[in-house]
Amino acid sequence: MTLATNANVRSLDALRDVRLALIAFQERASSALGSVRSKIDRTRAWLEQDRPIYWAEQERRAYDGVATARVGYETCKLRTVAGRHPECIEEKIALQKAKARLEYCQQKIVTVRRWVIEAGRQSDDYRGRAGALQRLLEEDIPNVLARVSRMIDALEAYAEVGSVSGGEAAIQPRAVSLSALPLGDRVVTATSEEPANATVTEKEEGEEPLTLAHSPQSRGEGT
Amino acid sequence: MALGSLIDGAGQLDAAADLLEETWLTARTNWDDGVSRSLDEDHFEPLFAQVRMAIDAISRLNSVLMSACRECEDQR
Repeated sequence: MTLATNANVRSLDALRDVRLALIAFQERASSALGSVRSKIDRTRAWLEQDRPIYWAEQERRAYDGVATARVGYETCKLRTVAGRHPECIEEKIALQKAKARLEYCQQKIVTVRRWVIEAGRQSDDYRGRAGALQRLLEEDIPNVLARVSRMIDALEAYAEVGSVSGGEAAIQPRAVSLSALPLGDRVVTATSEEPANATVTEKEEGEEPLTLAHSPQSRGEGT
Repeated sequence: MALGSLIDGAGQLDAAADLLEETWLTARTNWDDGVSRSLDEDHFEPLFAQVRMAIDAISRLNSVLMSACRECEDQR
């Protein structure tokens, strides 16, 4: 048994707007997701490639800095001024700073390793969530677009029939074989012979039919 | 963030979804039948829900990556 439901469309333009909005959304959302993906990739590359190299180099320089500062401090301690060993405060501070820098670099190396793992985990989690939206953009929206487009085509075709019927040719909707309206792989059939409430059924194989019913007032609107 | 915030992308996605939702809601006032209800329940509602989830996920990831960049910078 097929269940046909009457269409209730008061503005064809509203459907056309939906079609345009869907196309615009698909483009903008894909662009936005692409931009996010690109920034994630760049940030991860910075964390995974740039930072380890940078901090390894900084650590090497810090070791050199400690060695240089230690030599300066030891050399200072060996000096005697007026028979006394100087306190070498500046050299001592320089050595402390060099050691602090080395410790800082070593901590950063550990920090980078930790963030590489965490950023990778969070990025993968995001990809899973965004992937669902990406699939909707690539697979579902084209289907919705196709359905809305078929609806618009059917309404336009029927509105055209209705407008012709008002002319001298007086082609009544019932006089036109609505079953012959080309809607791709769908079939449009008339289920009523009354022009005032003609009902058009759009049916795809294996699918419940979509029925378009026009009242005389709505016929031709938006065309 | 050193390499650019993800929030711009989330904002673009949000704005695009807002525009589509507004258009769809307007259309629904002019189109109310089984087909429009089916599209609403089976396609538009899930789509907007996925957009919200994606925006939340972008915001969370942005916080993580911002922290990562800040902590991995050389702040000497």
